[in-house]
Amino acid sequence: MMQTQRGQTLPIWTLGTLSLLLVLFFVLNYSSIIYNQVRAQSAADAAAQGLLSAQATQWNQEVILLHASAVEEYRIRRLLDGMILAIHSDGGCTSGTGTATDCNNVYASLYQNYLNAVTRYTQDVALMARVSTPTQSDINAQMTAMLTAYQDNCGKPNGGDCAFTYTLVDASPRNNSYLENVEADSASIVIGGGTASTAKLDFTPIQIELVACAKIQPLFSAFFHLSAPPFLAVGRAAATNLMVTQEWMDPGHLTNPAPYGDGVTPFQPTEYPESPTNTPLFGTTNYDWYSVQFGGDPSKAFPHQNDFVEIVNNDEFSENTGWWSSIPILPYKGNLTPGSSFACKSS
Amino acid sequence: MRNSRGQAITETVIFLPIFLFALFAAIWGIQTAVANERMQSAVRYSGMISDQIQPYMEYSLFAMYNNLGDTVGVASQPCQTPPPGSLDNTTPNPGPQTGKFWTPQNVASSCSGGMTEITGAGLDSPALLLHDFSQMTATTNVPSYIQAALGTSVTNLSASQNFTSPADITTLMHCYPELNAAVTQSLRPQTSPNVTQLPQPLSLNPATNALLVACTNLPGDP
Repeated sequence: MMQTQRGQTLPIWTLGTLSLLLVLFFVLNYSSIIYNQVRAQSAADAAAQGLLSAQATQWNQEVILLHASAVEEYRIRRLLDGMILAIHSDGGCTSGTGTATDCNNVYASLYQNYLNAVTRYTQDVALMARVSTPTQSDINAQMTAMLTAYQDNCGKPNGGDCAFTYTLVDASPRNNSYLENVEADSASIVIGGGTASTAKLDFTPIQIELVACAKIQPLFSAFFHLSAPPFLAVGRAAATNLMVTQEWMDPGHLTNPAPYGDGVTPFQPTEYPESPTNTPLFGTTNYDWYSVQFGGDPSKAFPHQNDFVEIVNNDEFSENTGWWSSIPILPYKGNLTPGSSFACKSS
Repeated sequence: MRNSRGQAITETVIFLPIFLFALFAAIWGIQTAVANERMQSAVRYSGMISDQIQPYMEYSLFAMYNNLGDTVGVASQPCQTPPPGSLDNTTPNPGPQTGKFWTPQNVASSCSGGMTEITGAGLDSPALLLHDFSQMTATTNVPSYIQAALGTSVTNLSASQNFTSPADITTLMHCYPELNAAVTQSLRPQTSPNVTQLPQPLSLNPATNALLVACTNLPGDP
Protein backbone atom coordinates (compact mmCIF):
# COMPACT_ATOMS: atom_id res chain seq x y z
CA MET A 1 0.00 0.00 0.00
CA MET A 2 2.81 2.35 0.86
CA GLN A 3 4.31 1.67 -2.53
CA THR A 4 1.26 3.24 -4.20
CA GLN A 5 1.58 6.40 -2.13
CA ARG A 6 4.97 7.17 -3.58
CA GLY A 7 4.83 10.30 -5.74
CA GLN A 8 1.30 11.08 -4.65
CA THR A 9 1.95 14.85 -4.61
CA LEU A 10 3.32 14.82 -8.12
CA PRO A 11 -0.06 14.89 -9.92
CA ILE A 12 -1.35 17.52 -7.53
CA TRP A 13 1.57 19.81 -8.19
CA THR A 14 1.41 19.13 -11.90
CA LEU A 15 -2.31 19.78 -12.14
CA GLY A 16 -2.05 22.86 -9.96
CA THR A 17 0.76 24.33 -12.01
CA LEU A 18 -0.90 23.52 -15.29
CA SER A 19 -4.14 25.07 -14.06
CA LEU A 20 -2.34 28.27 -13.22
CA LEU A 21 -0.60 28.36 -16.57
CA LEU A 22 -3.96 27.71 -18.22
CA VAL A 23 -5.44 30.63 -16.31
CA LEU A 24 -2.54 32.77 -17.50
CA PHE A 25 -3.10 31.61 -21.08
CA PHE A 26 -6.76 32.56 -20.97
CA VAL A 27 -6.25 35.80 -19.06
CA LEU A 28 -3.64 37.19 -21.39
CA ASN A 29 -5.53 36.20 -24.52
CA TYR A 30 -8.81 37.47 -23.14
CA SER A 31 -7.24 40.76 -22.11
CA SER A 32 -5.82 41.12 -25.59
CA ILE A 33 -9.30 40.67 -27.04
CA ILE A 34 -10.83 43.25 -24.72
CA TYR A 35 -7.97 45.71 -25.27
CA ASN A 36 -8.17 45.47 -29.04
CA GLN A 37 -11.95 45.53 -29.05
CA VAL A 38 -12.06 48.78 -27.10
CA ARG A 39 -9.35 50.15 -29.36
CA ALA A 40 -11.30 49.16 -32.48
CA GLN A 41 -14.45 50.79 -31.16
CA SER A 42 -12.57 54.01 -30.38
CA ALA A 43 -10.98 53.98 -33.82
CA ALA A 44 -14.36 53.55 -35.50
CA ASP A 45 -16.03 56.26 -33.42
CA ALA A 46 -13.18 58.68 -34.06
CA ALA A 47 -13.37 58.19 -37.81
CA ALA A 48 -17.16 58.30 -38.04
CA GLN A 49 -17.47 61.62 -36.25
CA GLY A 50 -14.65 63.14 -38.24
CA LEU A 51 -16.01 62.11 -41.62
CA LEU A 52 -19.26 63.94 -41.05
CA SER A 53 -17.33 67.18 -40.98
CA ALA A 54 -17.87 67.29 -44.73
CA GLN A 55 -21.52 68.16 -44.18
CA ALA A 56 -21.22 69.90 -40.79
CA THR A 57 -18.63 72.33 -42.12
CA GLN A 58 -20.73 73.16 -45.17
CA TRP A 59 -23.80 73.85 -43.05
CA ASN A 60 -21.94 75.87 -40.43
CA GLN A 61 -20.45 78.00 -43.18
CA GLU A 62 -23.97 78.57 -44.46
CA VAL A 63 -25.17 79.56 -40.97
CA ILE A 64 -22.31 82.04 -40.66
CA LEU A 65 -23.10 83.57 -44.05
CA LEU A 66 -26.84 83.60 -43.36
CA HIS A 67 -26.19 85.62 -40.23
CA ALA A 68 -23.92 88.07 -42.03
CA SER A 69 -26.34 88.52 -44.92
CA ALA A 70 -29.32 88.88 -42.55
CA VAL A 71 -27.50 91.69 -40.73
CA GLU A 72 -26.83 93.33 -44.08
CA GLU A 73 -30.47 92.99 -45.15
CA TYR A 74 -31.62 94.61 -41.93
CA ARG A 75 -29.03 97.36 -42.38
CA ILE A 76 -30.00 98.00 -45.99
CA ARG A 77 -33.65 98.29 -45.03
CA ARG A 78 -32.81 100.84 -42.36
CA LEU A 79 -30.57 102.76 -44.74
CA LEU A 80 -33.33 102.97 -47.34
CA ASP A 81 -35.73 104.23 -44.66
CA GLY A 82 -33.22 106.89 -43.65
CA MET A 83 -32.58 107.93 -47.24
CA ILE A 84 -36.30 108.40 -47.88
CA LEU A 85 -36.54 110.53 -44.73
CA ALA A 86 -33.57 112.64 -45.79
CA ILE A 87 -35.03 113.14 -49.29
CA HIS A 88 -38.15 114.52 -47.64
CA SER A 89 -36.13 116.63 -45.19
CA ASP A 90 -37.61 114.58 -42.43
CA GLY A 91 -36.27 112.67 -39.48
CA GLY A 92 -34.33 115.55 -37.94
CA CYS A 93 -31.99 116.73 -40.68
CA THR A 94 -31.95 120.40 -41.62
CA SER A 95 -32.28 121.95 -45.05
CA GLY A 96 -29.95 124.46 -46.60
CA THR A 97 -27.57 124.81 -43.67
CA GLY A 98 -24.57 123.17 -45.29
CA THR A 99 -23.60 121.60 -41.99
CA ALA A 100 -23.12 117.96 -41.19
CA THR A 101 -26.80 117.68 -40.28
CA ASP A 102 -27.86 119.19 -43.59
CA CYS A 103 -30.24 116.78 -45.32
CA ASN A 104 -28.05 116.73 -48.43
CA ASN A 105 -25.02 115.69 -46.41
CA VAL A 106 -26.99 113.17 -44.39
CA TYR A 107 -28.36 111.70 -47.61
CA ALA A 108 -24.89 111.52 -49.16
CA SER A 109 -23.52 109.64 -46.17
CA LEU A 110 -26.49 107.30 -46.06
CA TYR A 111 -26.15 106.64 -49.78
CA GLN A 112 -22.45 105.83 -49.47
CA ASN A 113 -23.25 103.40 -46.68
CA TYR A 114 -25.99 101.94 -48.82
CA LEU A 115 -23.57 101.29 -51.70
CA ASN A 116 -21.14 99.68 -49.30
CA ALA A 117 -23.83 97.55 -47.67
CA VAL A 118 -25.21 96.27 -50.97
CA THR A 119 -21.68 95.43 -52.14
CA ARG A 120 -20.98 93.47 -48.95
CA TYR A 121 -24.34 91.76 -49.16
CA THR A 122 -23.54 90.71 -52.72
CA GLN A 123 -20.25 89.24 -51.54
CA ASP A 124 -22.04 87.31 -48.82
CA VAL A 125 -24.56 85.91 -51.27
CA ALA A 126 -21.87 85.02 -53.79
CA LEU A 127 -19.99 83.11 -51.10
CA MET A 128 -23.19 81.41 -50.05
CA ALA A 129 -23.67 80.22 -53.61
CA ARG A 130 -20.21 78.70 -53.62
CA VAL A 131 -20.53 77.10 -50.20
CA SER A 132 -23.91 75.56 -50.91
CA THR A 133 -23.02 74.22 -54.34
CA PRO A 134 -22.02 70.68 -53.25
CA THR A 135 -25.04 68.39 -53.17
CA GLN A 136 -25.50 65.56 -50.72
CA SER A 137 -24.19 63.22 -53.37
CA ASP A 138 -21.05 65.37 -53.57
CA ILE A 139 -20.73 65.30 -49.78
CA ASN A 140 -20.98 61.49 -49.78
CA ALA A 141 -18.22 61.33 -52.38
CA GLN A 142 -16.10 63.67 -50.25
CA MET A 143 -16.53 61.41 -47.23
CA THR A 144 -15.40 58.39 -49.21
CA ALA A 145 -12.33 60.30 -50.39
CA MET A 146 -11.66 61.51 -46.86
CA LEU A 147 -11.75 57.99 -45.49
CA THR A 148 -9.22 56.82 -48.07
CA ALA A 149 -6.87 59.64 -47.12
CA TYR A 150 -7.59 59.09 -43.43
CA GLN A 151 -6.48 55.49 -43.82
CA ASP A 152 -3.38 56.49 -45.75
CA ASN A 153 -2.48 59.10 -43.13
CA CYS A 154 -2.70 56.61 -40.26
CA GLY A 155 -0.56 57.49 -37.30
CA LYS A 156 -0.67 61.20 -38.12
CA PRO A 157 -2.96 63.92 -36.73
CA ASN A 158 -5.12 63.67 -39.84
CA GLY A 159 -5.20 59.89 -39.92
CA GLY A 160 -6.64 56.90 -38.17
CA ASP A 161 -5.27 53.95 -36.26
CA CYS A 162 -2.78 52.03 -38.37
CA ALA A 163 -3.86 48.77 -36.78
CA PHE A 164 -7.22 48.76 -38.54
CA THR A 165 -8.83 48.83 -41.93
CA TYR A 166 -11.75 51.23 -42.17
CA THR A 167 -14.85 50.57 -44.25
CA LEU A 168 -17.65 53.04 -44.81
CA VAL A 169 -20.62 50.71 -44.67
CA ASP A 170 -23.32 53.26 -45.25
CA ALA A 171 -23.92 56.96 -45.82
CA SER A 172 -27.53 57.94 -46.16
CA PRO A 173 -29.95 60.72 -45.30
CA ARG A 174 -31.41 60.51 -41.82
CA ASN A 175 -35.13 60.55 -42.37
CA ASN A 176 -36.84 60.66 -39.02
CA SER A 177 -40.50 59.79 -39.32
CA TYR A 178 -41.41 62.10 -36.47
CA LEU A 179 -40.25 65.21 -38.32
CA GLU A 180 -42.90 67.50 -39.71
CA ASN A 181 -42.79 70.47 -41.98
CA VAL A 182 -42.39 73.89 -40.42
CA GLU A 183 -44.50 76.74 -41.67
CA ALA A 184 -43.92 80.28 -40.55
CA ASP A 185 -45.54 83.63 -41.03
CA SER A 186 -44.87 86.98 -39.43
CA ALA A 187 -46.79 86.14 -36.30
CA SER A 188 -46.07 82.55 -35.52
CA ILE A 189 -44.31 79.37 -36.36
CA VAL A 190 -46.45 76.33 -36.96
CA ILE A 191 -44.89 72.92 -36.84
CA GLY A 192 -46.46 70.14 -38.73
CA GLY A 193 -50.10 69.64 -38.25
CA GLY A 194 -49.50 66.10 -39.33
CA THR A 195 -47.59 66.86 -42.50
CA ALA A 196 -44.70 64.52 -43.09
CA SER A 197 -41.35 66.19 -43.54
CA THR A 198 -40.41 66.89 -47.13
CA ALA A 199 -37.00 68.43 -46.61
CA LYS A 200 -34.81 68.75 -49.65
CA LEU A 201 -32.17 66.06 -49.73
CA ASP A 202 -29.34 68.60 -49.53
CA PHE A 203 -30.79 69.85 -46.26
CA THR A 204 -31.26 66.42 -44.72
CA PRO A 205 -28.64 65.36 -42.15
CA ILE A 206 -26.47 62.44 -43.14
CA GLN A 207 -26.01 59.35 -41.01
CA ILE A 208 -23.11 57.02 -41.55
CA GLU A 209 -22.01 53.66 -40.31
CA LEU A 210 -18.38 52.68 -40.35
CA VAL A 211 -16.35 49.65 -39.34
CA ALA A 212 -12.77 49.47 -38.12
CA CYS A 213 -11.52 45.91 -38.20
CA ALA A 214 -8.32 43.96 -37.79
CA LYS A 215 -7.45 40.30 -37.52
CA ILE A 216 -5.44 40.06 -34.31
CA GLN A 217 -3.11 37.22 -33.42
CA PRO A 218 -3.57 36.02 -29.84
CA LEU A 219 -0.75 36.70 -27.45
CA PHE A 220 -0.34 32.95 -26.95
CA SER A 221 -1.60 30.89 -29.80
CA ALA A 222 -1.27 27.45 -28.22
CA PHE A 223 -1.09 25.78 -24.85
CA PHE A 224 -0.45 22.07 -25.13
CA HIS A 225 -3.39 20.84 -27.15
CA LEU A 226 -5.36 24.06 -26.74
CA SER A 227 -5.06 26.58 -29.54
CA ALA A 228 -6.30 30.13 -29.74
CA PRO A 229 -7.09 31.20 -33.30
CA PRO A 230 -6.73 34.78 -34.52
CA PHE A 231 -9.74 36.89 -33.69
CA LEU A 232 -11.39 39.86 -35.34
CA ALA A 233 -11.37 43.10 -33.44
CA VAL A 234 -14.38 44.88 -34.89
CA GLY A 235 -15.46 48.38 -34.03
CA ARG A 236 -18.81 49.44 -35.43
CA ALA A 237 -19.67 53.09 -35.16
CA ALA A 238 -22.52 55.14 -36.47
CA ALA A 239 -22.82 58.88 -36.30
CA THR A 240 -25.03 61.61 -37.58
CA ASN A 241 -25.05 65.36 -37.87
CA LEU A 242 -27.43 67.36 -35.78
CA MET A 243 -27.72 70.79 -34.24
CA VAL A 244 -25.49 70.45 -31.20
CA THR A 245 -26.32 73.97 -30.13
CA GLN A 246 -29.35 76.11 -30.76
CA GLU A 247 -29.69 79.73 -29.86
CA TRP A 248 -31.91 82.74 -30.02
CA MET A 249 -29.87 85.89 -29.99
CA ASP A 250 -30.54 89.62 -30.02
CA PRO A 251 -27.07 90.79 -31.07
CA GLY A 252 -28.07 94.43 -30.73
CA HIS A 253 -29.19 93.89 -27.16
CA LEU A 254 -26.88 91.25 -25.72
CA THR A 255 -23.44 92.40 -24.69
CA ASN A 256 -20.23 90.52 -25.23
CA PRO A 257 -19.20 89.55 -21.70
CA ALA A 258 -15.77 90.14 -20.20
CA PRO A 259 -13.11 89.01 -20.76
CA TYR A 260 -14.16 88.49 -24.39
CA GLY A 261 -15.71 91.92 -24.68
CA ASP A 262 -16.09 94.91 -22.41
CA GLY A 263 -19.39 93.68 -21.02
CA VAL A 264 -21.08 96.86 -22.21
CA THR A 265 -20.92 96.93 -25.99
CA PRO A 266 -23.47 94.75 -27.74
CA PHE A 267 -22.36 92.19 -30.26
CA GLN A 268 -23.95 94.33 -32.97
CA PRO A 269 -23.75 97.92 -31.79
CA THR A 270 -25.85 100.77 -33.10
CA GLU A 271 -24.49 102.38 -36.27
CA TYR A 272 -24.78 106.00 -37.33
CA PRO A 273 -24.57 105.97 -41.11
CA GLU A 274 -25.77 109.58 -41.31
CA SER A 275 -22.19 110.45 -40.44
CA PRO A 276 -19.16 109.44 -42.52
CA THR A 277 -17.35 108.79 -39.23
CA ASN A 278 -20.13 106.69 -37.69
CA THR A 279 -20.84 109.17 -34.93
CA PRO A 280 -24.31 110.24 -33.81
CA LEU A 281 -25.14 113.67 -35.28
CA PHE A 282 -28.45 114.06 -33.53
CA GLY A 283 -27.52 113.09 -30.00
CA THR A 284 -28.40 109.85 -28.30
CA THR A 285 -31.23 111.07 -26.09
CA ASN A 286 -34.01 110.97 -28.62
CA TYR A 287 -34.69 108.36 -31.25
CA ASP A 288 -32.29 108.66 -34.14
CA TRP A 289 -34.29 108.01 -37.28
CA TYR A 290 -31.19 107.53 -39.44
CA SER A 291 -29.35 105.12 -37.23
CA VAL A 292 -29.20 101.38 -37.67
CA GLN A 293 -30.32 100.04 -34.33
CA PHE A 294 -30.41 96.30 -34.05
CA GLY A 295 -32.31 96.79 -30.85
CA GLY A 296 -33.89 93.96 -28.98
CA ASP A 297 -36.56 93.49 -26.37
CA PRO A 298 -36.10 92.03 -22.92
CA SER A 299 -37.79 88.68 -22.54
CA LYS A 300 -38.75 86.69 -19.50
CA ALA A 301 -38.43 82.95 -19.73
CA PHE A 302 -40.65 80.44 -17.99
CA PRO A 303 -38.61 77.31 -18.43
CA HIS A 304 -41.01 75.06 -16.55
CA GLN A 305 -43.77 75.96 -18.95
CA ASN A 306 -41.41 75.92 -21.94
CA ASP A 307 -42.58 79.44 -22.66
CA PHE A 308 -41.47 83.03 -22.61
CA VAL A 309 -43.01 86.49 -22.64
CA GLU A 310 -41.63 89.36 -24.66
CA ILE A 311 -43.18 92.78 -24.99
CA VAL A 312 -42.06 94.37 -28.22
CA ASN A 313 -41.19 98.00 -27.61
CA ASN A 314 -38.07 98.43 -29.71
CA ASP A 315 -36.60 97.65 -33.07
CA GLU A 316 -35.37 94.12 -33.00
CA PHE A 317 -33.05 92.05 -35.07
CA SER A 318 -33.12 88.63 -33.49
CA GLU A 319 -32.04 85.31 -34.76
CA ASN A 320 -32.99 81.73 -34.18
CA THR A 321 -30.24 79.49 -35.36
CA GLY A 322 -28.27 76.37 -34.61
CA TRP A 323 -24.90 74.88 -35.31
CA TRP A 324 -24.04 71.50 -36.66
CA SER A 325 -21.69 68.80 -35.53
CA SER A 326 -21.64 65.04 -35.33
CA ILE A 327 -22.65 62.76 -32.50
CA PRO A 328 -22.43 58.98 -32.14
CA ILE A 329 -25.62 56.99 -32.63
CA LEU A 330 -26.50 53.33 -32.41
CA PRO A 331 -25.27 51.32 -35.41
CA TYR A 332 -28.30 50.78 -37.61
CA LYS A 333 -27.22 48.50 -40.45
CA GLY A 334 -28.09 45.22 -38.80
CA ASN A 335 -25.94 42.16 -39.34
CA LEU A 336 -22.68 42.73 -41.14
CA THR A 337 -20.40 40.04 -42.45
CA PRO A 338 -16.61 40.27 -42.37
CA GLY A 339 -15.21 40.05 -45.83
CA SER A 340 -18.35 41.02 -47.68
CA SER A 341 -19.70 43.91 -45.61
CA PHE A 342 -16.35 45.20 -44.43
CA ALA A 343 -12.65 44.49 -44.73
CA CYS A 344 -10.25 43.59 -41.96
CA LYS A 345 -6.58 44.27 -41.68
CA SER A 346 -4.42 41.19 -41.31
CA SER A 347 -1.83 41.41 -38.61
CA MET B 1 8.08 2.17 3.10
CA ARG B 2 11.48 3.48 3.90
CA ASN B 3 11.98 4.27 0.23
CA SER B 4 8.89 6.47 0.14
CA ARG B 5 9.80 8.59 3.13
CA GLY B 6 10.60 12.15 2.09
CA GLN B 7 9.19 11.64 -1.37
CA ALA B 8 6.57 14.36 -0.98
CA ILE B 9 9.14 16.85 0.22
CA THR B 10 11.33 16.13 -2.74
CA GLU B 11 8.48 16.63 -5.14
CA THR B 12 7.48 19.80 -3.35
CA VAL B 13 11.00 21.17 -3.56
CA ILE B 14 11.01 20.50 -7.27
CA PHE B 15 7.56 21.83 -8.05
CA LEU B 16 7.23 24.74 -5.64
CA PRO B 17 9.34 27.14 -7.73
CA ILE B 18 7.46 26.16 -10.87
CA PHE B 19 4.16 26.55 -9.09
CA LEU B 20 5.15 29.91 -7.66
CA PHE B 21 6.33 31.04 -11.08
CA ALA B 22 2.98 30.14 -12.57
CA LEU B 23 1.11 31.73 -9.68
CA PHE B 24 2.97 35.00 -9.89
CA ALA B 25 2.77 35.00 -13.64
CA ALA B 26 -0.99 34.65 -13.39
CA ILE B 27 -1.15 37.45 -10.84
CA TRP B 28 1.00 39.66 -13.03
CA GLY B 29 -1.06 38.77 -16.10
CA ILE B 30 -4.34 39.60 -14.42
CA GLN B 31 -3.02 42.85 -12.98
CA THR B 32 -1.50 43.93 -16.27
CA ALA B 33 -4.53 42.91 -18.29
CA VAL B 34 -6.91 44.90 -16.13
CA ALA B 35 -4.65 47.95 -16.19
CA ASN B 36 -4.29 47.67 -19.95
CA GLU B 37 -8.01 47.52 -20.55
CA ARG B 38 -8.70 50.39 -18.16
CA MET B 39 -6.12 52.56 -19.88
CA GLN B 40 -7.75 51.93 -23.22
CA SER B 41 -11.09 52.90 -21.69
CA ALA B 42 -9.54 56.04 -20.23
CA VAL B 43 -8.25 57.05 -23.66
CA ARG B 44 -11.65 56.35 -25.15
CA TYR B 45 -13.30 58.49 -22.47
CA SER B 46 -10.91 61.32 -23.30
CA GLY B 47 -11.67 61.21 -26.99
CA MET B 48 -15.41 60.91 -26.70
CA ILE B 49 -15.79 63.58 -24.04
CA SER B 50 -13.47 66.04 -25.79
CA ASP B 51 -15.83 66.35 -28.72
CA GLN B 52 -18.19 69.25 -27.97
CA ILE B 53 -16.67 69.61 -24.53
CA GLN B 54 -17.92 73.22 -24.35
CA PRO B 55 -20.58 73.37 -27.06
CA TYR B 56 -21.41 77.06 -26.84
CA MET B 57 -17.74 77.99 -26.88
CA GLU B 58 -17.30 75.92 -30.02
CA TYR B 59 -20.52 76.34 -31.95
CA SER B 60 -22.32 79.64 -31.44
CA LEU B 61 -22.76 83.18 -32.64
CA PHE B 62 -20.74 84.11 -29.55
CA ALA B 63 -17.80 82.13 -30.90
CA MET B 64 -18.24 83.70 -34.32
CA TYR B 65 -18.37 87.29 -33.06
CA ASN B 66 -15.26 86.71 -30.98
CA ASN B 67 -13.31 85.46 -33.97
CA LEU B 68 -13.89 88.26 -36.45
CA GLY B 69 -10.84 89.42 -38.36
CA ASP B 70 -7.52 88.34 -36.92
CA THR B 71 -8.85 88.15 -33.38
CA VAL B 72 -8.94 84.78 -31.71
CA GLY B 73 -11.17 85.80 -28.83
CA VAL B 74 -12.53 82.31 -28.25
CA ALA B 75 -9.99 79.64 -29.03
CA SER B 76 -10.71 76.02 -29.84
CA GLN B 77 -11.41 74.25 -26.60
CA PRO B 78 -8.70 72.10 -25.03
CA CYS B 79 -9.21 68.36 -25.00
CA GLN B 80 -9.92 66.30 -21.92
CA THR B 81 -6.86 64.43 -20.71
CA PRO B 82 -7.43 60.70 -20.18
CA PRO B 83 -8.39 60.66 -16.51
CA PRO B 84 -6.11 58.62 -14.22
CA GLY B 85 -9.23 58.17 -12.11
CA SER B 86 -10.41 55.64 -14.67
CA LEU B 87 -7.74 53.32 -13.31
CA ASP B 88 -8.89 53.37 -9.70
CA ASN B 89 -12.57 54.25 -9.91
CA THR B 90 -12.23 57.83 -8.75
CA THR B 91 -13.23 61.04 -10.52
CA PRO B 92 -14.62 61.28 -13.16
CA ASN B 93 -15.94 57.74 -12.96
CA PRO B 94 -16.33 57.07 -9.25
CA GLY B 95 -17.26 53.58 -8.24
CA PRO B 96 -16.39 50.97 -5.66
CA GLN B 97 -12.93 51.69 -4.34
CA THR B 98 -10.25 49.88 -6.28
CA GLY B 99 -7.64 47.96 -4.37
CA LYS B 100 -4.07 49.13 -4.75
CA PHE B 101 -3.21 45.89 -6.48
CA TRP B 102 -5.22 46.88 -9.53
CA THR B 103 -3.74 50.32 -9.88
CA PRO B 104 -0.64 50.64 -12.06
CA GLN B 105 2.26 52.91 -11.21
CA ASN B 106 3.81 55.91 -12.95
CA VAL B 107 0.57 56.87 -14.64
CA ALA B 108 0.98 59.68 -17.15
CA SER B 109 -1.68 60.92 -19.50
CA SER B 110 -1.92 63.68 -22.03
CA CYS B 111 -3.89 64.92 -24.95
CA SER B 112 -3.01 67.34 -27.65
CA GLY B 113 -5.05 68.57 -30.50
CA GLY B 114 -6.15 71.33 -32.76
CA MET B 115 -7.16 71.62 -36.35
CA THR B 116 -5.92 69.33 -39.03
CA GLU B 117 -6.52 68.94 -42.75
CA ILE B 118 -7.23 65.97 -44.94
CA THR B 119 -6.25 66.25 -48.56
CA GLY B 120 -6.27 63.70 -51.31
CA ALA B 121 -7.80 62.48 -54.51
CA GLY B 122 -11.49 63.29 -54.73
CA LEU B 123 -11.25 66.32 -52.49
CA ASP B 124 -11.33 69.62 -54.35
CA SER B 125 -10.20 71.41 -51.20
CA PRO B 126 -8.73 70.28 -47.90
CA ALA B 127 -11.26 68.95 -45.41
CA LEU B 128 -10.86 70.60 -42.02
CA LEU B 129 -11.16 68.61 -38.83
CA LEU B 130 -10.43 68.94 -35.17
CA HIS B 131 -8.29 66.18 -33.79
CA ASP B 132 -7.42 65.06 -30.30
CA PHE B 133 -4.55 62.67 -29.75
CA SER B 134 -5.10 61.11 -26.34
CA GLN B 135 -2.62 58.82 -24.72
CA MET B 136 -1.84 57.24 -21.40
CA THR B 137 1.21 55.36 -20.14
CA ALA B 138 1.80 53.45 -16.93
CA THR B 139 3.80 50.59 -15.49
CA THR B 140 3.04 47.53 -13.46
CA ASN B 141 5.62 45.87 -11.26
CA VAL B 142 6.76 42.44 -12.31
CA PRO B 143 6.82 40.04 -9.36
CA SER B 144 10.38 39.16 -8.47
CA TYR B 145 9.81 35.46 -9.16
CA ILE B 146 9.25 36.10 -12.85
CA GLN B 147 11.54 39.08 -13.40
CA ALA B 148 14.27 36.82 -14.69
CA ALA B 149 11.90 35.17 -17.14
CA LEU B 150 10.54 38.47 -18.48
CA GLY B 151 13.88 40.20 -18.24
CA THR B 152 12.44 43.30 -16.64
CA SER B 153 11.19 44.54 -13.31
CA VAL B 154 8.37 46.66 -14.74
CA THR B 155 5.86 46.27 -17.54
CA ASN B 156 5.36 49.34 -19.68
CA LEU B 157 1.77 49.86 -20.71
CA SER B 158 0.42 52.38 -23.18
CA ALA B 159 -2.79 53.23 -24.94
CA SER B 160 -3.45 55.97 -27.46
CA GLN B 161 -5.93 57.00 -30.10
CA ASN B 162 -6.39 59.92 -32.45
CA PHE B 163 -9.96 61.22 -32.36
CA THR B 164 -11.43 63.51 -34.99
CA SER B 165 -14.54 65.64 -35.16
CA PRO B 166 -15.97 68.46 -37.31
CA ALA B 167 -14.19 71.80 -37.19
CA ASP B 168 -15.53 74.34 -34.72
CA ILE B 169 -16.48 77.93 -35.54
CA THR B 170 -13.08 79.26 -34.45
CA THR B 171 -11.41 77.02 -37.00
CA LEU B 172 -13.84 77.94 -39.74
CA MET B 173 -13.33 81.65 -39.11
CA HIS B 174 -9.55 81.41 -39.22
CA CYS B 175 -9.10 78.84 -41.96
CA TYR B 176 -11.41 80.28 -44.62
CA PRO B 177 -10.07 83.79 -45.26
CA GLU B 178 -12.77 84.66 -47.81
CA LEU B 179 -15.46 83.73 -45.29
CA ASN B 180 -13.78 85.65 -42.50
CA ALA B 181 -13.30 88.78 -44.61
CA ALA B 182 -16.88 88.84 -45.85
CA VAL B 183 -18.43 88.20 -42.46
CA THR B 184 -16.15 90.63 -40.64
CA GLN B 185 -17.01 93.39 -43.07
CA SER B 186 -20.74 92.72 -42.78
CA LEU B 187 -20.73 92.69 -38.99
CA ARG B 188 -18.16 95.46 -38.61
CA PRO B 189 -19.02 97.64 -41.63
CA GLN B 190 -16.53 100.33 -40.67
CA THR B 191 -13.80 97.92 -41.78
CA SER B 192 -15.06 97.75 -45.35
CA PRO B 193 -13.88 100.16 -48.04
CA ASN B 194 -16.08 102.73 -49.72
CA VAL B 195 -17.31 101.76 -53.16
CA THR B 196 -18.50 104.11 -55.87
CA GLN B 197 -21.21 102.08 -57.54
CA LEU B 198 -23.56 99.24 -56.93
CA PRO B 199 -22.25 95.78 -57.80
CA GLN B 200 -23.38 93.94 -60.87
CA PRO B 201 -26.09 91.32 -60.37
CA LEU B 202 -24.73 87.91 -59.59
CA SER B 203 -24.27 85.47 -62.42
CA LEU B 204 -26.89 82.78 -62.78
CA ASN B 205 -24.01 80.35 -62.96
CA PRO B 206 -21.82 81.36 -60.05
CA ALA B 207 -18.34 80.05 -59.55
CA THR B 208 -18.51 76.63 -58.01
CA ASN B 209 -15.00 76.51 -56.67
CA ALA B 210 -14.64 75.62 -53.02
CA LEU B 211 -13.53 78.23 -50.54
CA LEU B 212 -9.82 78.80 -50.21
CA VAL B 213 -8.30 77.16 -47.14
CA ALA B 214 -5.47 79.01 -45.40
CA CYS B 215 -5.32 78.82 -41.63
CA THR B 216 -3.85 81.65 -39.61
CA ASN B 217 -3.61 82.42 -35.92
CA LEU B 218 -4.45 78.87 -34.91
CA PRO B 219 -2.39 76.41 -32.89
CA GLY B 220 -1.79 73.16 -34.71
CA ASP B 221 -1.59 74.68 -38.20
CA PRO B 222 -0.32 71.87 -40.40
